[in-house]
Amino acid sequence: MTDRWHRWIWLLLAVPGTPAVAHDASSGLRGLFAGVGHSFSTPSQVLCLLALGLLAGGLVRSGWFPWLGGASAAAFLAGLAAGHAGLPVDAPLFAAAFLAAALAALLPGRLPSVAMGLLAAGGFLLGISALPDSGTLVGKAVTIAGSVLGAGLGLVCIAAVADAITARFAAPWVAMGLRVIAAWLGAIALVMLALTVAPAG
Amino acid sequence: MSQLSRFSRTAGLAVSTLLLAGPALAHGGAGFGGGFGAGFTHPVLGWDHVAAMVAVGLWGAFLGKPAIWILPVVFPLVMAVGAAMGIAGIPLPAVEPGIAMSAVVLGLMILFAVRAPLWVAATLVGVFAIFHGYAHGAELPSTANAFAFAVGFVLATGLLHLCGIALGLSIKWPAGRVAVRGAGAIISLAGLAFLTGVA
Repeated sequence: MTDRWHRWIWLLLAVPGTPAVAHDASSGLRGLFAGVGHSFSTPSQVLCLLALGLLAGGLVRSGWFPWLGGASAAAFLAGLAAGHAGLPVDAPLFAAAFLAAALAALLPGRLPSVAMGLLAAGGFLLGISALPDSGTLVGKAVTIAGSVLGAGLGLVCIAAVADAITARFAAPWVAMGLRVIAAWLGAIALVMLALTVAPAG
Repeated sequence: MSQLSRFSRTAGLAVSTLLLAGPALAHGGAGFGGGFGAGFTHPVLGWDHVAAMVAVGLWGAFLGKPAIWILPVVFPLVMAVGAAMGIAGIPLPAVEPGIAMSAVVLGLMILFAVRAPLWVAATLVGVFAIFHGYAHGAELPSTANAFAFAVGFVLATGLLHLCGIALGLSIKWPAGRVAVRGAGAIISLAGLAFLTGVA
């Protein structure tokens, strides 16, 4: 069962991505794909998704995983409902990415309630950033649907790949390698946070 | 025969790769590639950074599990705090001496094969990481793509740690143990040279 699940994840990863040209909403498949790509269109979104995915990946085999997924999905939708296009969410996204990556690096698979809080916060911010700038109502709806799909699939894929790697390769350095990668992501996110909030000049 | 031909094939490939490679013209370049190059070469081209980063990996190898992996996890996270301080312009005294001291102290730890408790090792490495990060953050070129620069210097730092770990794994052989301790002595002397301004 688990093997079949992992095979599907590898297959999904093999599907070629579309370029992220998403800030306008357009209807039809083009709008849907633009929405899917939108969740990966800025460094803050990519770092946040990667960090949250690695954090969730450490908890895939715990009973908490459905709750983590539910919390982040609900928060994403809440962010969509609460936000409006153009809100500056880069700094909070970098902060969420740093905290999630630091937790994944230092205490992987532990503190599930803190992980749930971070996944909810990250989901909320990703939801806000997923709103298209302009377009028709139908176009916006299609693009938002694509964003929900892209962010959700992205998070699940990253978590599943992290879990699949640790499950398939039992050597301790493999799990530690993921922690080192999480530490690198956290470091990059913190530097980007400083660059975002530091006074210019 | 087969070993010789494999060697000559590998050597041929290495030489042709070297001949085909273009010059590295990365510092301060614009765009993602330029920013990444500037960030990646910042730790790699600074001998004081290289000595200390490799020393972290070598000492981790001497300390064994879990330090061998915990130190490369702690270092980049704390280094980023230092980089944030540098970017924000928060004053930090004696940055260059701090970097040089990191090479001196970590080199001595390797030379004398000091088996410090994990928390002591992590704290020591973390304190030195602040100075290294501060230097990266404060010297970020204004023309570089900031994200690419951050990715570059974090990746280079991590790879230098991995080089140290890879070299340090040779301590399971007696000759390797001597070589690693000798490397610690060289790192410490290099740090002393940086500290006194000789190098």
